[in-house]
Amino acid sequence: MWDLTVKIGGEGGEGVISAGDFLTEACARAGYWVVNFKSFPAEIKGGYAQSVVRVSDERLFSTGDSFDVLCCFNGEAYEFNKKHLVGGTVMVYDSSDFEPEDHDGVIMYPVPLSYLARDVMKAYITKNVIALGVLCGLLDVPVEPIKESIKAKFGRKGSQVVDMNLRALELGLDFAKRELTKRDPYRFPPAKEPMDVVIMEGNQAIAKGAVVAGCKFYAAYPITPATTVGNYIVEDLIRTGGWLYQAEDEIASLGMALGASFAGVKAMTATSGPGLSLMTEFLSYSGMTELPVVIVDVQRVGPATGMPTKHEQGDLYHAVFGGHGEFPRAVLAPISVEDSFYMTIEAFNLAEKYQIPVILLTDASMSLRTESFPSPRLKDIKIVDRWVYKASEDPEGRFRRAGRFLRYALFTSDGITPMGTPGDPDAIHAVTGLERQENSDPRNRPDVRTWQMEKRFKKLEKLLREDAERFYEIDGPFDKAELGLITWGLTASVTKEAVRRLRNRGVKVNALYIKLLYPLRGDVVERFAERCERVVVPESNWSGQLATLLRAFSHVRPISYCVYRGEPFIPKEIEDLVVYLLENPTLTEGRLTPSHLYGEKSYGLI
Amino acid sequence: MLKPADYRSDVEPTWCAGCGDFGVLAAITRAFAELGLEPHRVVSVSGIGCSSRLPLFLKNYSIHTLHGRAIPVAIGVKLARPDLTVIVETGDGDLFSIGAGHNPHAARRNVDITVLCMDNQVYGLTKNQVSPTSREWLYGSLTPYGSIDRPLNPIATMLAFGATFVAQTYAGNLQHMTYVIKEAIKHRGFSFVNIISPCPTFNRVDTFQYYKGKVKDINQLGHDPSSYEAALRVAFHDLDHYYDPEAPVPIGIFYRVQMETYEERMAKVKARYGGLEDLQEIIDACKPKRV
Repeated sequence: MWDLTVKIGGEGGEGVISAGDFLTEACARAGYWVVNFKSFPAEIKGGYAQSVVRVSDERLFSTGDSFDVLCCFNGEAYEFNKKHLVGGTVMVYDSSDFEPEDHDGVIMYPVPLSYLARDVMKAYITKNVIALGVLCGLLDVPVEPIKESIKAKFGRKGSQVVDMNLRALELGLDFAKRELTKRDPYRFPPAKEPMDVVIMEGNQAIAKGAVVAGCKFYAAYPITPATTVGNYIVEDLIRTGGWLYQAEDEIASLGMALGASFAGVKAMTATSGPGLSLMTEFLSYSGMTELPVVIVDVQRVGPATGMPTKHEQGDLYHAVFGGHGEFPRAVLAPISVEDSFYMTIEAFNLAEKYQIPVILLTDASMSLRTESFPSPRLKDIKIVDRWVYKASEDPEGRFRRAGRFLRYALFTSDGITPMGTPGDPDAIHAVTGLERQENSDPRNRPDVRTWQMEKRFKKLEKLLREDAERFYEIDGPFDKAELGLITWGLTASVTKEAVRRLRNRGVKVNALYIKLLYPLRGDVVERFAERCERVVVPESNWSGQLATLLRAFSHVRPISYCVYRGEPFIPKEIEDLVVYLLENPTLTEGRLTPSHLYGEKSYGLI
Repeated sequence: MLKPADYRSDVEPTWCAGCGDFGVLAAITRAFAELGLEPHRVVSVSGIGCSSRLPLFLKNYSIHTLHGRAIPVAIGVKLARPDLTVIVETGDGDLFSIGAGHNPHAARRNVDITVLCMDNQVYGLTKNQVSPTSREWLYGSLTPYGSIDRPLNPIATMLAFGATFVAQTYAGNLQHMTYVIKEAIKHRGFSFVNIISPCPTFNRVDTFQYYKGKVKDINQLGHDPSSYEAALRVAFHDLDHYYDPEAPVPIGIFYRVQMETYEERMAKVKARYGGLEDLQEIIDACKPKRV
């Protein structure tokens, strides 16, 4: 497997992110798999920004443990990353900005990036493209795809801008060839036939998935890191006959989505932690009124305003248990960008089929991750549409009594009844959050309450029966594995890579990636756990939220491994966890944190 | 021809005897009948409270939502289905207390919904607390010493927010209510009607007795609803009766102006950018770019 990770760091606004994007796109164009992760501070300009591009000839699941090549646009980027500079790492840096310390075995390539941009190109904004040219020259990155990307990106700004950037690229290339003597082993293989892939960012995949699922109404209220779902969806939505409404707050957002759903269209809203808190009253309401809706929660570090641009898996309890009273709902969590696309479609399908709210949980890091994945073929995707009442299909008039449409009829075996759409003279009805009789007439009677509760929860029983199993991705080749890893969300994609490495080392690990977190198929988890000596659940939260759910909804008693620093796991860390547990065979339950594994040492990509 | 009774569901109102909301229900069904609205093309949206039960007593599509949240739900309905008539039937607590964040934006955006506020100047369903429109020193279960809050002026507020139709009417005058509600529904854009609807159980001050003889139709007195300045002037005077028990209570159409609605603008944007048929196109746009 050929595998290379390039990290570009610099000041926000210097083109760090777009240099990474050019590289990402070029890699996909050159026929390689690529994953890109970017991060920038919560400020509009300035601060430290970075883009990590990982390329391989095999399908990638994470951005890896660290980087092979670091390109520092300024001294700050160097300061941020110098503790990760180990022997064999390459550093390309702006020698007109700073001089690094000595690092044993680190291969340094000084390039006067600022000088070349300001004094040779006479255009400081080309600094990032010059750096890109240097990287291309140094690493033999196929240049043609980069040029194509530049033309595509700057084409709209006119040929002068395109030419300037192409010249900047050449300048960087020339500099690398003329001035730098290659002393490192990193080299791109030649470009291959491009694969049929798409490149999407996490939130973009959600937006595309929603439109494909038939979403026609999106209510938006800006909140990091969910805002870009709206940014990405707005144009596609209008082009396909839908509409995005910027609401006055998150409460209104979900209310509007439910109004649109009542009026007969598929509707969605996206938010992050604090916004989900505000929406919780309407979440209960949608469960009670049986109005389908999709709510995306791009988790960030909480509570309160926490760390708004950072990663955490801390809203699982809220998604599963949040709300007053009891009502059926589903909670889905994609494990990758590709999965974000398909899980969004699944979320709409479940919402419409069962007439329930569906919460899609992603996170800050997934929202900003770019992935190449096989182009979805839409004609192969199953879309579930709403069961709309048609009088012609109800000749006996079972769903009507005394001239009224029975929106909450009790006689169906699965608790699901057709929905009436305003405008249809045969299905006039009321929807209310009050407990009611079959014809929506409010009632407090114990028998009515009991029947309607049973009706609503029958839907979840059916969901568990008919639609749950496919959300449990089992990678369990061993009949008796030394360890079973159970993970969700972004941690799952990191775990995939760790599992690959562990098996290469001869460790017998099974893995289970859970994408339907509620309702939970306890039996599937139990069957998986039976084939493992012990089970461990690594999560990015303090309390081990999935582990708690497993204890509640199955007989499995996992070890919980909790990391809560605001950054995703790296594969190495999951490997270390497995090794630690193998060295400590008496540990079978309880909660571990990085301090158990590393003492006081902190870990991770910063 | 539909009659008012044709718009009534078989659910019996749960209001107290003598509640002003009975009158409002009668006026709404009369207005529907006189406008010839088809019941299946009308959506009633309400919040929580005595008044908000009203949609359940109507035979049209209705959605009884959460305390204060009728307006966002109504906007969702209207934007999804601009062809429907959307009417919010709710109360002063909903609109001017818990849900007060929603009114300004529905009004300024001129979303074509009709908001009927049954204003009884008290919280009835929770059994007697003062509301944002309660007069000063009114006794309530949480203000046993009398409310020390100054009341909010619903008319001036909605005018300031940019509502394009603002009116007030009175539950003791079926004819006037019917007329104003009809005008509000016919109005293209955001229309707001404050309906003074006395609570016989908890509000012993603002009673039918009190209002009788005090309500004055400002339009008959020569008020011109096309002038914003005149509307504001009258609107601020209408607050007088909260402080001065002798002051007249103005009813009528304070302001009416025709402006492009939110949905009309939305339709323009959709016409300009819409029309994509093959969804595969939005996926293919994410393939690595080619020139």
